Amino acid sequence: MSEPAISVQNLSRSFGKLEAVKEVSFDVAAGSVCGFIGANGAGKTTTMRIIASLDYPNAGCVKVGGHDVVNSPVKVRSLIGWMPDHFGNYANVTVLEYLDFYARALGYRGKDRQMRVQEVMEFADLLPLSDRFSNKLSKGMTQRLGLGRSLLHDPEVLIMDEPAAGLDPKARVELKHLIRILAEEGKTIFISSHILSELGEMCDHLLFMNDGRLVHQGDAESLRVHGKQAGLSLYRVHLIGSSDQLSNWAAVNPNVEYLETLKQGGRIQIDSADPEKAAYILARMIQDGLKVNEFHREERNLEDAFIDLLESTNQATHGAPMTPPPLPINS
Amino acid sequence: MSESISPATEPAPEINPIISGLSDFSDRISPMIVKELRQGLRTRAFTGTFLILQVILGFAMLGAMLSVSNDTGRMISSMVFFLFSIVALILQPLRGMTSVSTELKDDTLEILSLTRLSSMRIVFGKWASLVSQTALMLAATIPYLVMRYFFGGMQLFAELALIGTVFYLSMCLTAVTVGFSCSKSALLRALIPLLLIPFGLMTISSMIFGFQFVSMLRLFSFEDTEVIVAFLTFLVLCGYVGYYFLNMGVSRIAAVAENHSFRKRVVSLALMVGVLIVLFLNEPAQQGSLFVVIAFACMIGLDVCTEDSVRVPSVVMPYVKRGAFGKFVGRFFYPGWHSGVFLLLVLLAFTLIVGELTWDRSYGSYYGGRSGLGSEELLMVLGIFYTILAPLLVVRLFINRFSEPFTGYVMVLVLSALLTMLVAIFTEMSRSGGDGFVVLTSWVPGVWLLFMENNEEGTGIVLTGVFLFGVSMLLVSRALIEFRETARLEKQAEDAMREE
Repeated sequence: MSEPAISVQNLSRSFGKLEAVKEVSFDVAAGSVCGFIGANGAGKTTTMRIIASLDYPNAGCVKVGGHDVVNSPVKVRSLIGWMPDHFGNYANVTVLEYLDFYARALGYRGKDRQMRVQEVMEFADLLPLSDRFSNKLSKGMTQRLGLGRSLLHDPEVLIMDEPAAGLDPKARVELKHLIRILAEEGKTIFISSHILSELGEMCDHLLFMNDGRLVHQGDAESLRVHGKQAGLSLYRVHLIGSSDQLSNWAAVNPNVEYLETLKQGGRIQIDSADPEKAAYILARMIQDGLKVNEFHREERNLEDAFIDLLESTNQATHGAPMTPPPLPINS
Repeated sequence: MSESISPATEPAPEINPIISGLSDFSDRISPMIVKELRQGLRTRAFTGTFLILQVILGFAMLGAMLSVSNDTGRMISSMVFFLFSIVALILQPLRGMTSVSTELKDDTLEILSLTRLSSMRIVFGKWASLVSQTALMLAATIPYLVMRYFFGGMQLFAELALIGTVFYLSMCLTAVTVGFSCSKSALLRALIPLLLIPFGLMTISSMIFGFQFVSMLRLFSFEDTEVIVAFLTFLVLCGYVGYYFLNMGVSRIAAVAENHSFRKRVVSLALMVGVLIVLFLNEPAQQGSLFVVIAFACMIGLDVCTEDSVRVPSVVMPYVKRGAFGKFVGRFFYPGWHSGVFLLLVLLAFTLIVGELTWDRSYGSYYGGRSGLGSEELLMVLGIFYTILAPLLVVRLFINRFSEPFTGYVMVLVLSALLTMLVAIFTEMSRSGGDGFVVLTSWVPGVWLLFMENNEEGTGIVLTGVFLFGVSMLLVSRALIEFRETARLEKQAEDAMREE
């Protein structure tokens, strides 16, 4: 098995009495796109900063491409492209000068430098902005500039902390497009975001952080079937007639739970994910005289799944159900 | 948008004229200087100052041409020196105050640190760019001095040497402010303008427009060998202070795995020993040895007392590799205040020995003969080391509020200076009973100076000595606790070595 692009083992980091990251372990396979999800203050940015060699762990070991981030920061920095959630740009420096400076700082000289700057500007569609001052750009343009800057040295691993935060839908689509191209090129992308649905589409693997701990890892589907909702399925039922008929019917059927009333009918939950069981329930409804004109399965969205996951984690930790921390969802 | 970002393997495409047009700076110049010059030359601070300087000097020259006076030449000189000194010794250094702090504030420094630019190249690049801009101002000022030559009465060499010295001092002052700008504390950075502007304006005005200007020009004609030696020593010391502050800034923004302390401490100690040897070989100058050691101790103290302790095993690795000897050396040279305390205590002993060996109590009097430190000098040595170490104890024991120890340390120093001034004022006002108040407040670093004022060195030595001893012991005990963590890192480094 090839070495993981990022390896985090028993990572802990505290700031005074605040334990920001608690014994977190995970691997990110080379060439994969890994999403990093968690509410504000969950410890995502701290973990990413340590991976980017910008901070150091109190305990544990973090390696990028097999190199320790604390003991070999220079090697690690040559392998990573870092795109923080927020970064200032320089006053009185144009977009072209900005990239030219970073290309110089990364060791490019002469024609190589010009060529590399051109490639990056073309990729991030920055050529039309070349004369604009870098601190006078919109948020979307700034993110494209940041992406261009982080790609100048053609890093193997790209670490992006909330790259889509604050972007309008158009800029978000553009950014997603660029990330998709990079993923197709085989770069390892480690990306954090609050926009779960977007990460679900984009990522091969998802990591979920809560209160400094890694609470779940897997793909989007694994989250959907995880926790207290595992083994259950949701159905939207439309009736000809009153919704009460459906709620009354559900009340006397032990395998079905009535969840909410809709304009015509309602949502029900069946205690099985088996489609045959659903077919049997539908047959029973019709048999019992309900005039069903629509019956279809609803996918659990990732946001719901994540909140359920937080609830179950909190229950396991604190022994009682707790309201999960509010999760800002931009989607 | 293009569909590929990896470097092309196919024949290189044509470079866009927009990009190929960007060749204003050679590849040989440091990227940091290129960026800082591009930025700096467009700022209002530079363009405004440059234009105002030209306009005022232009009008001054015009006015001088129209007036008929024997003193016109000197007036022009004064004007040129005054304006250039304001720009070079106040305005340009003040611009240094925001050079690194802006990067810290805007989160751009972290991104910079991910490039090949070391923290040293970042800080030195910022400094070099500001110095280059001052050089541009100087170049624009020189034509006025050339024109002034035609008005007669000019001491060409002395005036050129003076303006060169102003430029050199500007370099050193800018280095100090750039070093300070590596602090995140706005409070600390606000202190420098508060000190620099009034003090600078007063000094420059009195030097240029007072009688000192003529005597200064006489000095700068370098007719006396002693003056040349003193001048060169002054230049070396100023250069050292500038270098030290720049390096202090470098270590403040460096990654935790970088060790800048060893180099800084070794360079300081080596330079100090070098200067002492030069003074030792020149017997009349030996008297200055004590002050040289004290000056170096103050600089080293300011730095070591404000350093964070070593936090990662890779820093102790080079010492651990050299076995027990390496670890022993590390007790004085590991990054951090804890090793700094031991180094300062060694320096205290060294200062007392140097003073005892070189200080001539009856210097200049008819009765010669070396007799070691007098009570006044002993109090001075104890007092200075107490002033260096006491704020460190306050910071380590009581102040956790400051995110940076440097800010806390300097704030305690400033507070001590203010308290000392208040005690001095109170003592002056209440002539009877004032001395008792000095004794009561003798724990304040700086109050030892008042014992010298009141000719009570004996009491001062006892009190300051007791406080210095107490503070040293407390700091040593704290440092030993801190060294437990360092020992853990040494163990980790040893384990890593064994694994290798």
